[in-house]
Amino acid sequence: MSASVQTKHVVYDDGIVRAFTLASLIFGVVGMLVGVIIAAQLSFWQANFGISWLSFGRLRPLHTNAAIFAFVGNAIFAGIYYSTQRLLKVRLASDFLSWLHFWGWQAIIAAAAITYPLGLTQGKEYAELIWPIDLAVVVVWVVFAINFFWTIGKRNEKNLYVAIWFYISTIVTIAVLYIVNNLQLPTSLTHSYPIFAGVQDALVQWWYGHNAVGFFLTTPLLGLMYYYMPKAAERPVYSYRLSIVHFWALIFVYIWAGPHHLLYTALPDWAQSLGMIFSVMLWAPSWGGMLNGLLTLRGAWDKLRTDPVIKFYVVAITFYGMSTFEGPLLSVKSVSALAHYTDWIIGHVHAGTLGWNGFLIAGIIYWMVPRLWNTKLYSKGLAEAHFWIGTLGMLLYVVSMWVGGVSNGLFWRALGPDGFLQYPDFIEGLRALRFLFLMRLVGGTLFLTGFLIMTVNIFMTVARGKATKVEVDVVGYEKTPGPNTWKLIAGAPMVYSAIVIALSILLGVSGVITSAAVLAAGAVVVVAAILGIGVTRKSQGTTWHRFLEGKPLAFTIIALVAILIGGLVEIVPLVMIRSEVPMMTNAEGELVESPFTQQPYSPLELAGRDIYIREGCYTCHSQQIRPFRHETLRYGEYSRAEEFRYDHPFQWGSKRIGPDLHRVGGKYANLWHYLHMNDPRSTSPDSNMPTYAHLMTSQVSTDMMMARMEVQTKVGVPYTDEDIKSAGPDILSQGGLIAADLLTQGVPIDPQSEMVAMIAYLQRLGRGPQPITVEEPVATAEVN
Amino acid sequence: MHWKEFFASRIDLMLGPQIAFWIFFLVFLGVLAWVLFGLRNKEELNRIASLPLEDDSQGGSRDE
Repeated sequence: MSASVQTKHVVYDDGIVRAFTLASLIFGVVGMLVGVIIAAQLSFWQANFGISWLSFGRLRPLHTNAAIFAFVGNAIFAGIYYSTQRLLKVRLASDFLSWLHFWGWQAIIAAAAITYPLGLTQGKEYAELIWPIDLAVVVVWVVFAINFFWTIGKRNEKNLYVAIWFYISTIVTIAVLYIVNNLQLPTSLTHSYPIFAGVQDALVQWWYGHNAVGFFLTTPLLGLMYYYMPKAAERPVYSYRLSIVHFWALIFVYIWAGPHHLLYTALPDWAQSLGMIFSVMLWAPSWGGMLNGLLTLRGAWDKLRTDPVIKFYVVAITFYGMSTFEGPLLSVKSVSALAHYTDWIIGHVHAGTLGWNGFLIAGIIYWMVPRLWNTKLYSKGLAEAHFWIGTLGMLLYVVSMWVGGVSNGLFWRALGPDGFLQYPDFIEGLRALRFLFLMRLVGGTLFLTGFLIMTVNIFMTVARGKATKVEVDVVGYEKTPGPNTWKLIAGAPMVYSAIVIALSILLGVSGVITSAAVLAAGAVVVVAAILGIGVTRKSQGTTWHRFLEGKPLAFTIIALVAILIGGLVEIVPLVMIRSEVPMMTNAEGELVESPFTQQPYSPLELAGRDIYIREGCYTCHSQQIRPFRHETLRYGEYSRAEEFRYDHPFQWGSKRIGPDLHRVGGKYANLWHYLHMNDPRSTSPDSNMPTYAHLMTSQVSTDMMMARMEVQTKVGVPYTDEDIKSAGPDILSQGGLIAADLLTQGVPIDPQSEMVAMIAYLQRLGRGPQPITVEEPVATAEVN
Repeated sequence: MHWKEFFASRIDLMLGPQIAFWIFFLVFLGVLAWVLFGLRNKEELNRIASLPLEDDSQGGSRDE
């Protein structure tokens, strides 16, 4: 052994792991309980007790964020900190940063739990946090990143095990996604508008939304799987080679798949196609990982009978396989045409979060807690009970959502022999789902029951154990001089890569015939590369991947480049596009603006829109009519890109518990909207929509709207100074028209009330500017 | 000329997806080839694959 190799005494910091583990359990209970409450509200609308901050639209973001960022988030931090220390044979770099990370994250969760019920939201799914909390998330994430990479820098193991690669990709990708999707301009301490609007905002949001699933709910858990599965099975991962291919293919492909959430919408067709193709491609690396996980149990399957941890892992990985088959399937355009906006998507999402995330985390906690507190699990029987109750709950939940989703999709699209809607009444479809909503409620309650059993079991285990300090003596690795960088740069892999990239660009710009030649040249290069690697592998000494594994910074940069390619290629063209407003040729052959082009909202309509966002209406209503006969018959003309160019943020939604609202403007009288929001059952018998009577008692603030319009101009909405100055009179004037109309029908109402603002917004949807003074003509264009 | 106008008028940005796709496809083939043919040191591979099984084996634990 050389003089540079030393034996070092290492004391792992497991205190932080214990804290994150217990936080995950507590917030898991909270998140799932809120889920059960909102599931109950779908069956029994009264389950919000008439309290606005308990309504579905406000609690649903709390449920999704608590499940993703509080339950799973705390669990992955626990798992990452535990495994990283052991894989790198070093204590976490900074106790201070570890605890700053912990308390910072819990403070963010607490802030979310307070602000969501209050209706403080950005109105973008899984990104609802208001801007000051967003800033806190960025700071805490940076703290986590510094602590993690600093730990890597101090490591006593030269090679970075595959789990660490997955953690690295998580850290860098979430940072990029979170920052880009939350680019916004504040209007106050609790409100902001995103800089993107309409189609662009939709693409950025679902690029983020899908990859929040990919890089928060998948890659870190795959890293954990690669660590904890071998631990439980007491044998190494099935194929380390496969894990390398799994990693690089997964992180490159995942980032492209976001547009599959926007199939058949106003998003450009090329972006939809890219999303679909890469989603289908994603199936391969996902199943590579699944098989690698399951096959790690080779020769140890007998443990499945006796070890609850293995049971949880096997079901988790099986659900991962099932979800990653179902995801690509749902991304095929013709399947999406049926499934989008239905409960099938909800079933798919819950198969992933309950089955894959929930059960993998349960297995990890059951394995880790006895070791962290130096004792045995309090009750194996309770763990078994958790397993079976949770599995039954999941199956009930997912199957009810599959059946409900498919039947609802078929219901919406059914046309009679005359070519018109067979079931024109939307509520009829909702009525048919009642039993399945109850099944979902039972399934969710069972899953929560199982989780509560685990929580009791774990706290009893903790109570009878003692926190231990794990100390090990490790041998530091020999710090050999690094490879000759210039030699590596001039080496075969770099030369081949340069040729490949050049050929790729050539392929992109070449025609049909020349592209065949370019492809042939590419094939020759690949064969040459394979042969070259085979010949030089012994003489080279240091391979590129070994080099990268020894250089975490370089590894991180390459992983970052891999994930950036997909994002840039999809988003940049849409942002760079000459104009987001399609031009068309008129009878004289001149290029003119599309007649559908959106005009800015009036101050009162904008206020109504902000209330719509605050109340979380997008959680149940879409604003995007797809170009299908059954949709245009039900909702009106299909939605176009130019109709959303001033929508900061877009409100296309992803689920139709209620009908689409994009062209609801002018469909019903003001009185109908008033009655509907006061008591939805009065106009739509059997509706499960909450009441919004509280909108009667709050007023729109003129000062606030002026400030918001000011900010809207900064994100590209062409309000003039005069528009902003006259916001107050305009609000009163337009509100007065609506109030006068309601008064003639016996309803006295404050013209500046939020109810009136909401009616103004809903009446504007899908139409051009509406009259705001009595002097103006009442007639309006059919479309804007 | 403003950079945004430059990109919007001079370059067909729709080429990006095609180019990126081929970069992925060929690099993927390269990674696959490297994994299949370049990784021959089984002893080293097995050592790395067994890293999760090594921990806590060299030391003890005590109450905190």
